[in-house]
Amino acid sequence: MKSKMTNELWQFKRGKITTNRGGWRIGEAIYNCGYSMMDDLVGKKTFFQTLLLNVTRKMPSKVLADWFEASFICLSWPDSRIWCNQNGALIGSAKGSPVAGIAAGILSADSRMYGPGSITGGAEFIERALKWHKQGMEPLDIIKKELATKHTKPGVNAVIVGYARPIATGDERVEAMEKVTKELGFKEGEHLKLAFKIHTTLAEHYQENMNYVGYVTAFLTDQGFTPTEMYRIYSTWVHSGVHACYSEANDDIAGGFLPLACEDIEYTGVAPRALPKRR
Amino acid sequence: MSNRKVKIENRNDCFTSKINSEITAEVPSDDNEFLVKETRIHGYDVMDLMDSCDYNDVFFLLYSGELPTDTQKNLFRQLSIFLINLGPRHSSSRTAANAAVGRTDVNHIVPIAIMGMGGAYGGSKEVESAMRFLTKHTDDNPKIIAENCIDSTPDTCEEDWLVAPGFGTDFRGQSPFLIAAKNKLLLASPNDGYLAWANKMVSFLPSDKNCGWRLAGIIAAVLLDLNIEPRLGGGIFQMLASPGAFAHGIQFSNKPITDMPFLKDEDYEIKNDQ
Repeated sequence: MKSKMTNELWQFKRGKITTNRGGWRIGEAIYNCGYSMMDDLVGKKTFFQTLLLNVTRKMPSKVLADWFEASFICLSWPDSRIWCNQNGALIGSAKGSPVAGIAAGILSADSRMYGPGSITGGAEFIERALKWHKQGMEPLDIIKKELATKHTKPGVNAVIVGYARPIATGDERVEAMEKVTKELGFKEGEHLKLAFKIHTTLAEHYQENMNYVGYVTAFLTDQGFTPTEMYRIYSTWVHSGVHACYSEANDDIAGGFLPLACEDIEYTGVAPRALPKRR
Repeated sequence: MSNRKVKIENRNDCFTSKINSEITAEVPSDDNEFLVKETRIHGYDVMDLMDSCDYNDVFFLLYSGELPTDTQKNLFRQLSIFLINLGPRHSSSRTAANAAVGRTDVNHIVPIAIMGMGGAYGGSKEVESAMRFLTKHTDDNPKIIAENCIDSTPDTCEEDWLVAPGFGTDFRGQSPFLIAAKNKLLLASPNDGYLAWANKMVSFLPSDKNCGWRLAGIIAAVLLDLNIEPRLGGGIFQMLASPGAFAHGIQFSNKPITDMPFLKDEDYEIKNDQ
């Protein structure tokens, strides 16, 4: 495509929308990517099939949609100490609306450390790693090379996105999803096989393990999903746990979630001072 | 499979037992530890700040730890007025207006507007990225950096040509209003600062192709000239630009839904090409 010196691209789009996702034709139908919602989707396809359709424009199989549903359960648990959940709880406690509480929790998980914000980094790593592996690099070399790049997570120790986890080492969700993957009849693809090789090598040399994002992104890359598609699908990944924490705090007394007295804050700033005279 | 099995163990990280604050000292009241009898911001009594300072002074104090110098105060005043209203066409104003006319709880309009200004194209993400770009290159020769940017991002697309975060074309043109504001801010900023460096770099970009300033580049350079770090830049941009976005939104909260366009079917083309 040649560059343009004019604004005609934007002029062309003024005052109209052209969509391949769908819309409402009043009195006719509501369309989703070519399907009629009331005729083809409601009662016939699952919510997750419809969600994946809306993101990717492709109708997934029910087993793949079921895999996604299981993967949503895994990432969202009702522990109000976790950052996104705690924000839902704080808004619940302040008697904010449930939509504000859940939305704030979801937005909080757009994080480089956990949740959907780490999906892109995890997916891009395993794509890169397989390319290196096909060029002859062994898992340990891949790990060393990745740790030396700017793609690693910031912190005291560099870690590979998808292969470490805050608070704990190891990840029970990987084993749980492996069972789901098998029960639903999926085979392990080349990205997931390599991910497990990296996992065992990392455990041996660095005492870290593949985490849930590492597993999910490797599996879905094998299924043909791009990092962008994964990020979009998982954007609301944490909401179920936030719902729980918001609800409980909202049912409690106002301001009753982890209240702070003045002395619970440690002031570490400058000593009391007077304003400069010029003011 | 057995070597895949892992033991889940607590890292036993040493978490602090108290929240620290370098900003606010709250002295509890004598009879209720949840209530305050005196509050200080970076050491200054809020009552004294109320007597002697304006809003921008205390805004600057919060983020920098010190009250602004006269030069900083003037530059920050100019920047905050420049940003206070991005106009009704900016996505922040439009998200706010869509919420308001749709009868969204009015308490949600500011957060929605702020989300509408968070993007990497014309939003706070572009400001943050531009600040990182300028911080990385400010000790380099601006001519060489401009040439590198042009070489590494050839102009091959129809949309805007972004040679670096905050720099490139703007709807394939250059906004006279932005350039006028940049020139005014340049007079108030240090001669050897980030805005001056960026101005030199832009002079080596191809003006015949309308490649030069974008809003984010100007804001990024001024924020850096105010000693504001890149990680703060996106949020400070959002706060400074929120008043206009909210104003453009809230004006629709008591208007009928017909006061905002709802495209007719002929202007909403559905391609059912599944």
